[in-house]
Amino acid sequence: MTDERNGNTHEPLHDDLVAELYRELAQETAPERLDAQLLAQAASEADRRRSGSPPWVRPFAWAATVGLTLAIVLEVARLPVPEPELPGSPASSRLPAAPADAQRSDAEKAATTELLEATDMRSLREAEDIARSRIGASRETLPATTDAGPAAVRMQSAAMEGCTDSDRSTPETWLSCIENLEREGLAELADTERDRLRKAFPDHVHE
Amino acid sequence: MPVPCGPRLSKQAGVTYAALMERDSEDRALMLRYRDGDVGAFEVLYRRHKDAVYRYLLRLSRHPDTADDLFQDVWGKLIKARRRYRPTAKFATFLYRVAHNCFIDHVRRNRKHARPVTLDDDAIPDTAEAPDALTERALARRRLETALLTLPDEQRDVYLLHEQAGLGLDEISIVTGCKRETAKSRLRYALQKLRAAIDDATKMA
Repeated sequence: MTDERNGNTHEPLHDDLVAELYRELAQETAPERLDAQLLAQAASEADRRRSGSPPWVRPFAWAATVGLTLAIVLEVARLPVPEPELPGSPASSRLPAAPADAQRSDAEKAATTELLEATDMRSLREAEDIARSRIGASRETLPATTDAGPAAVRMQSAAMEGCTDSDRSTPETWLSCIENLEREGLAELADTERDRLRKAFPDHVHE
Repeated sequence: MPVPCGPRLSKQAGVTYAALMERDSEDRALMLRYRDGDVGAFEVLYRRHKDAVYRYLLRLSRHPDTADDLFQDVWGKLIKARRRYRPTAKFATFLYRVAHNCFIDHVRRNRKHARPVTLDDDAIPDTAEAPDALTERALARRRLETALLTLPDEQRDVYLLHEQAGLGLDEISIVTGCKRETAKSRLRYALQKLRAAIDDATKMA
């Protein structure tokens, strides 16, 4: 009755009589009204395909989107992370106006470059130390700058100004400012401020 | 069998299509040509397969109106899916997989309204012949038709894919999503039941 064959393309099970009767039975045809409808639909879809954008547009758009996104992400990653204000450092609003690049000393430029290259706090500290020594060597000629990183700006601002007028209003606040400068490693500036404190308040007992 | 070439085919594309046809993939080549915008290729493909697909859907759904709806649905999906078409399997496998899935979706949508098929069901075809005029052959055909309609859906599906669509067991397992052995078992049961119905008719005659 049944004939089983091997292989994927051959019929593994078959009944000749059943198949023969089925062939006699299955004589229906698809309704002709559907033919015209479906062929028109096929033609319409093909026309729409032809009038659409070229086949390379979609992959190109994807590549452009991915590239643009990557560029934005990398650019954002390169931006410096804002750091909390260090104690005793002057606020950025008190920065003097920046002079032109031509007026900068070589020492300041080198310090700024090293500070910008410092990527973590540890290397930033090291860079600050190096910059501090260079700035200390040529402090008199150093103008302020605004295009350096926040740490550089803060340090240069401190180097330029030392204590503020409000710090100098009482011996206690002035002394506190001097201590902050010492903690920041600006010993030279702290000494200068201490000399000025002694002159301004000769009667005050200095520690 | 020669396959008409579309006028818009470039020389390079023509060579590619010819290579595909040499590998006994005329249907796939036609579908690829339609994917590239050749409506004539689709018409050839449609006329080649439409009646078989219709009969498959007619016997699977057991109702001409449902078969019409499913038939439109199948070809409509094929038309819309042409851009995603990849010639990784036989075109018939692809086509009947779409048809099978359309039927499954239809069953799921209408599950609440499903009725068990009985011998008195309207869907069972009425032959023009009077009972006493039925020859042995005609009686056997009628018994086969009735037995086919009363087969479980899965067995009827596998039998139709085998007999009507001409698919092998591996292809049937792809279309229905069942294992090859399951398809084989369903086909064997279906054939046994159909054969038993014919034998009964022969005895009655």
